[in-house]
Amino acid sequence: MKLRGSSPEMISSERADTVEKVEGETYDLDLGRLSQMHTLLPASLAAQYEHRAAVGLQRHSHKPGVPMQTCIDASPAVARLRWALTSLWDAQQLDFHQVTEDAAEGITLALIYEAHGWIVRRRLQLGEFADWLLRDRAGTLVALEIGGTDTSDGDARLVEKLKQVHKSKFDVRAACVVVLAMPYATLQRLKEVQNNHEPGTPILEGF
Amino acid sequence: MSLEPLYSKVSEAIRKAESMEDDGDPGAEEAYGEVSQLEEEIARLLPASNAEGALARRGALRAALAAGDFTRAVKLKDRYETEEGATDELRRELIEVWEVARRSRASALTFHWTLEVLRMELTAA
Repeated sequence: MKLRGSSPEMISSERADTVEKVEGETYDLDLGRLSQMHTLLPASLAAQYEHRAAVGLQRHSHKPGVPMQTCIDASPAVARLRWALTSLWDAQQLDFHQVTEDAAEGITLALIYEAHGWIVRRRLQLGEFADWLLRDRAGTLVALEIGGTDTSDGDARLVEKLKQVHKSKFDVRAACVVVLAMPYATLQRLKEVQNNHEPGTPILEGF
Repeated sequence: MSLEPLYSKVSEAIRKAESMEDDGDPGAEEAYGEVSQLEEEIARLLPASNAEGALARRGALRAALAAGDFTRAVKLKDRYETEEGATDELRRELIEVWEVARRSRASALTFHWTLEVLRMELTAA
């Protein structure tokens, strides 16, 4: 897996006190850079995602620089999550589950940019079986469904999300689930089975 | 307006409408009306045969139905089904969008269709 900014040197020195030691390949996911990563993502939405990711992560006592285990098309790695600290006191009026979902969206949008170079085209309406339409480096459209959970089984949720995005009308489809408590993110692309299987049967790429 | 600013606007409008709907805000229908207008503008910029053009057409119809604006929904469906470049697949998808909305809002759509049929009969007479 080729990752942008995968060097540990990219971890900023002023935040070094919050960084725990982790084994293996690491890369940074700076949630404050969503607007620069995805220029078509409305700035207000990017700011909302960063804030809610901060709330969602901080309520599990995570601090900026926390290592997040990632599994991208079955390849494991570790990302360092970066965000601006926020006050949980001010966030008390926010809906708990909405914060989880929005935090997952923010983290996923940073992850897909760093991991695959996918960028946001537009949001999809309910009924399109995905949350976002993206474009990959070759210009191919990608439908992405996102799920968030605080503590429950991310893998079971991923299967549920893959089944949903399978119904999308776009050729390349993917799902990502973020578990905030760990934190952990798994991103998986769907691939159609071409031979000796029922047409349209999804399989997990990389398996 | 060009496509890219419209994409930003429609993303924001969809999020707003979804959020208002989740909160049970009565303004959600109006917010979906705005989504439908933006999707229609996007559809004007992209051919029906294009994947994103087809998406915008489905989106304009879907949001008009979510807005409860059945007169607009009928007009959009008729226009997109008959426009140049519309594929059989898109026509099927538009019917699918309509049918899903019909199942979830059966009584309102039946009432609307009854009025539409009456209107057409009166016009013909």
